[in-house]
Amino acid sequence: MGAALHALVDALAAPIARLEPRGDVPAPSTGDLTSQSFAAAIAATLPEGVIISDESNTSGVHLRRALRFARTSLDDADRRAIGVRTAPRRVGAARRVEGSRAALESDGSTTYVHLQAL
Amino acid sequence: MANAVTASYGPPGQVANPGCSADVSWKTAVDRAHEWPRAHLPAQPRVDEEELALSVRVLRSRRTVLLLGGSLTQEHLTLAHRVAQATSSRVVMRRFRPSSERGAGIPEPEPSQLPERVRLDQLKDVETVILIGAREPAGLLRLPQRPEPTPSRTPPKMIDLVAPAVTWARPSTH
Repeated sequence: MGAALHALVDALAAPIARLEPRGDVPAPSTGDLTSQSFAAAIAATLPEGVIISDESNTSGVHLRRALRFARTSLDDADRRAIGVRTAPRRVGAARRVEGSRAALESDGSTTYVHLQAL
Repeated sequence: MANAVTASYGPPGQVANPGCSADVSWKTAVDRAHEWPRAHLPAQPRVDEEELALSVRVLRSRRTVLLLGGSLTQEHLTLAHRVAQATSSRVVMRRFRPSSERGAGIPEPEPSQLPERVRLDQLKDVETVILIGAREPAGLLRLPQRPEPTPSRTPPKMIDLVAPAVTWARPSTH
């Protein structure tokens, strides 16, 4: 996949491209705890290279927006099934990559599988 | 078992069903793991030169979408963004993908819409779709509340540049 994309870039002599502005960085606040302030706080304090298990459906909108401005993270969730495909798999993913860490975020399925996964 | 896992990796990634004896769950395993056959990831498929040349031609001349699937790294997303910017094509990534890197400085393509909307809205004016690790989007589902597609509109042509395969992503370290 990388090889094909490199070949396309070379064949088209595509220059390094700027990113479009993405709006204002969500600022962490000391005010009320809301979905927005929660997301901004996670984005501001996230270490580099974390694997994020994100299966949230409601509050995740804010998190995904905030993470555009954060340090690089690996969004390792396809949001297709609550619980089953998420925490156990992400913890496994973090174990597989030496020195990496998993961050877990979810709406409700923590009750079912996340604690066992840890 | 190893053969089944290897087969499931593809490309294309697929379902493989291993057949196990009924007592596999309760009999004691023999501790000789190093002697067991191992599953292995397939080698990176070579890029087909004809498909590549065709892709370059349509990127220069047609309204084109690069459709990305699989585990997307910062490198993939940056390269696809460069291609799009150089050719005024668009990048779309599969909504349901194993993983993708994100963060400051990493391009974030639009995710594909749900199947019944993809052809109608997202690929409406697109002439060609270059599939890079993604399957062809599912056909239009006919839902009663949705408008019918315009019959005269020809669906976009698909170029299968990189077959979908199972890949393992790891976070980049900078």
